[in-house]
Amino acid sequence: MSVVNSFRVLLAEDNEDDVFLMRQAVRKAGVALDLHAVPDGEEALAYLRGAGDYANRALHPLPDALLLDLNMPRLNGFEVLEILRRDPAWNSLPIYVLSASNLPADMRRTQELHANAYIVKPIRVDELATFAAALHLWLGVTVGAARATRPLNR
Amino acid sequence: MERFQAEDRDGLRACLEALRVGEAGALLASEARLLDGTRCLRLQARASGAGGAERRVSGLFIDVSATRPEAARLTRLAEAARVIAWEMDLASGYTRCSPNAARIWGFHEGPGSAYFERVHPEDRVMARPQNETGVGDEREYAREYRVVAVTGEERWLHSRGDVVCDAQGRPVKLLGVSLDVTDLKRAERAAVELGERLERAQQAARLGTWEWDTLTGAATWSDGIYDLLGVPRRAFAPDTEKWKQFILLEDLESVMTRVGEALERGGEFNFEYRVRRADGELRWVGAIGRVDRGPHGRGARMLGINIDVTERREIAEELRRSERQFRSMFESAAVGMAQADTRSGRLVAVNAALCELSGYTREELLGMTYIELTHPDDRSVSLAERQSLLLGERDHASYEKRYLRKDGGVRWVLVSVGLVRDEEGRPWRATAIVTDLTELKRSEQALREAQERERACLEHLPVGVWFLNAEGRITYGNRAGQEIWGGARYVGPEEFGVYKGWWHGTGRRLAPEDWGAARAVRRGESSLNEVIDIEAFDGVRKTMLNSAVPVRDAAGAVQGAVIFTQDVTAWKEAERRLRESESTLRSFYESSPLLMGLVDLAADDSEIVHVYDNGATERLLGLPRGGTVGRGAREFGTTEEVLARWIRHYRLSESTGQPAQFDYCDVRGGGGAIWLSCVVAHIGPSGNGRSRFSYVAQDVTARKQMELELIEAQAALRRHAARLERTVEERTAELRAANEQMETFVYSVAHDLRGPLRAVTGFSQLLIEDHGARLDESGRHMLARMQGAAEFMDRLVLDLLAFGRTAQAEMELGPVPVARAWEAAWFQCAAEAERTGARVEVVGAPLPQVRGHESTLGQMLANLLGNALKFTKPGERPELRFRAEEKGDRVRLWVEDRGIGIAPEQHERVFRVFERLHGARYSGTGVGLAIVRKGAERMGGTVGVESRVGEGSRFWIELPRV
Repeated sequence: MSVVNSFRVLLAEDNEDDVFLMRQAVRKAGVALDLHAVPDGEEALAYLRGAGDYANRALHPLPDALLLDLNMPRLNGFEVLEILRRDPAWNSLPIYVLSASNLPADMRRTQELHANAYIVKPIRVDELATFAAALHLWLGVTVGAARATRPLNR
Repeated sequence: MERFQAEDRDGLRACLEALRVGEAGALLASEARLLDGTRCLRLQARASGAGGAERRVSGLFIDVSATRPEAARLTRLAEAARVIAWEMDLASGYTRCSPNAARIWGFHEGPGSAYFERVHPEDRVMARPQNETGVGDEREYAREYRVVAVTGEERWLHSRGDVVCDAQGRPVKLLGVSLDVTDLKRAERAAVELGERLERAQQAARLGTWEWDTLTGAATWSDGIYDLLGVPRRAFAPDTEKWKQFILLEDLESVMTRVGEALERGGEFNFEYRVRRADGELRWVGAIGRVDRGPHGRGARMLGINIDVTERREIAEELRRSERQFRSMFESAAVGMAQADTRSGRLVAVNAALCELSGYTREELLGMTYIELTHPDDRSVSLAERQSLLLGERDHASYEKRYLRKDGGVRWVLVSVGLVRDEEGRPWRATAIVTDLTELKRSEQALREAQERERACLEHLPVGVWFLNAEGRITYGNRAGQEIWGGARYVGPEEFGVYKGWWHGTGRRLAPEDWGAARAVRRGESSLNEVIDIEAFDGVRKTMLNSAVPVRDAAGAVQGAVIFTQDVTAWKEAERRLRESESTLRSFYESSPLLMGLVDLAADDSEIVHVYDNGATERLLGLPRGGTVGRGAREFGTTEEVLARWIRHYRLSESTGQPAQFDYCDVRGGGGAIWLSCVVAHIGPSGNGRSRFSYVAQDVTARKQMELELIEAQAALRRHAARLERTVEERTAELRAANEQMETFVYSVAHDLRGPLRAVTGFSQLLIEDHGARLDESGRHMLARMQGAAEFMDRLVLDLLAFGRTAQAEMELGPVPVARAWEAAWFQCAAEAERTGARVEVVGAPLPQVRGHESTLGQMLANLLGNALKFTKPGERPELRFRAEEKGDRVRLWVEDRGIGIAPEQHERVFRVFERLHGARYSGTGVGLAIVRKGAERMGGTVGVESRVGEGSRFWIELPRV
């Protein structure tokens, strides 16, 4: 059960503190989320496409979901969203926007670009842990069911 | 019967016949001689039983031969002489007659007094013998009397008798004979009558008597008949055939018919016929007479008088004709005619014209009285006239009155009434001739009206009219004239002094003979419109225009005068005022600062000539005063351009009929250019094809300068405005840039500012949780303080972002279901509510819709909700209520709690930014309520709070309802 319920999550986040806090939150939540972090949008796309170093899927496996920060260097979150949703290979990838902004304009825009959800980054670690638990639960419901039909060693 | 002698048989038979048909009980006797003549037998018989078959006759024969030896002879003698022998017993009156009596008279002797019963009643007394009582000395009996035969015929008898005495010498019997003298008597009477008629006929002209015996055909007539027929007397013997020859053939048949009728009927006759006289003249003859029947109904005698009735007939014919004429005249007369019974007043005859006049039919009129026909107002007149006629005061009356027609109309009529009296002279009928006067009356009335109109005309004439007679006496003054004078004095010229007048020019008093009226009458002088000041009879002073005209007859002699007077006080006054006004106006014009004048413009626009100017040109333009008059405009240095301008506007006013206005700058004056504002108007033609115009010009130099300044100011303003616009554009661009910067700033705050805070709080938390055991209490406390400060700062940043968003972000307003906003708010606070164990009540579902911005409203409600959860009394669970109150077109949303409450003086402060009432106990950024207020303002709403310390707070947001 625990094997099946392990999910790979790509975290596109330029702020290393946030990456650290996220990992701590997952740890504190005690859920099987395999976090792979990239520092910007281009890196996120490269990872997903298996470009360069990311070609090694053993080290860089395909994620079950993408946690996407908006404010990033090189390619920001909006641009990444736009590119991925136009690409048939990725338009079914669950993308959860995780942003510090609570501006309605930002929320509306990500919605228009077909993000699956928008989460304002909580300031407390325990709240972030709660989020991680919820995310794991959620992926279990949506992604887990789909993966159950696929061979485990794909 | 055959045994008796033949001549006696009749007597015997008659006796028997008389017995058979006579009265019962009658005793009759008859003597008859036997054939041998030896004896004479006397039959005495009595009749018994009723008539007819029951009649029984019984009798006996007595031989009287011995006692009457001469009887037979006597009988025969009597028979031959038509004499009746008789014997009368004086004591009993019994009379025996000879048998021929029956044949001659139709009866035999009766018993006793029976004989005298046969005698005519008038003659009975006379017929009786006086000595029948046996006393008297009459020895001889002689009488003539009439007897009435069984047939009713009268017969005249002449009786003579001798007295037979008995042995003692006492008269016992009368023995006599009676002679029938009827014929003689008749002839005798006829002769007398004829003689009388003849005599009468001879006395009167054209009258003839005649007699005609139809039995014998014998005719006799008097000489008058010859005269009637126009032939010489005794020219031929009277003869009916001869007479017939004169009768007009057409009349003959009717004459013969009448004669036949008369003869058949008997009695009197009367008819007329025409004869052709011997001289050829036609005459009318009236035949009047009587028919006398002959004895035994056989034959007759006509006795008659023939009268010449020609004249009478002519008169009658004339009368008939005139009656016809009268009747037709009566009927066809154009005037109404009527006859009325004087007693009842009822109409007994009316003609067509009266019907026409009255509108009634003949039948209706004949049932009416003439009073009914008369107009009610005139009935008394009619009755008075009638009374006068009936009293015999007059026999004729004529008077006018009105008839009331059936249709209600009124007709004036002239009635001429004549009275017809009867034989005793009593009033019988009234005849009336009714003439319709309506037309006449109308014309009379028209004439009267015309006169009245004329008089009324005079009366209403606004000019005083006075008439004077030949002596100069005033006879009439009309109303206007009397008004002028305040009355009238009908005086002669010598008294004209009562009319007070002064000559208007000189003020000299008018003497009586000075008056135009006096001069007109005395000298035949006409005077026209002499102006005279007068003092009217009522003391009012006036000015009067007086004209007098003499009236002359055909010969030229002055017959009087007509005076016309007119009150011209008002005119004179008006004239004076006009003069004053004129001078006022003139002085007004000439003192006016405006340039005013009149000009004439030539038809070909070649020249403008000044007619009048008020002198202002002198002041304004330095032109010679009054000197412009009669001179052309060019003489004053007017330029052609200016002249053309003037002309153009003159013509414009002429063609439009409206004044034309224009401004121009005149440079002729010494004081530099002056602006003139001119108004020109067309007045009319002024002769020589020129048109006259007026002009008024005003010095508007000051105004013009102001105008110019104004224009300059406006231009400056425009320049300024343009500058301003540019500035605004610049500012706007700056603002836009600032806005953009702000947005970037906000973005950066939102995205980046919170990151370090997150790191501080996150690491602090992790440090406490993961490494806290290695720190002492003081170190852990400081870490917690650090974490709390960072969290507060993060909340502050979020709140400020929210406030900024609420205050600045573009907000599109629309219908917002309150329920949804509430859900959003509740979603934000649900965790806290759960944590605090709050009891939340939503009242009044379904919640209404308001006009606003959904997420903003949600945030506002969330802020209120958060406060309500937060500011609870220590140890108490939050109790709160959300409700919507509809107030007309607005909705008030209430968030109510039972918390600590707010002091009234703080109610306003709580809505300010960063305003916090509480310390650390109730953490808050002081932005929440500011967001609520800002949000409400942005949505056109208001906010407020009702609260007391310790009793909870009730916050409300009021928004427009949808």
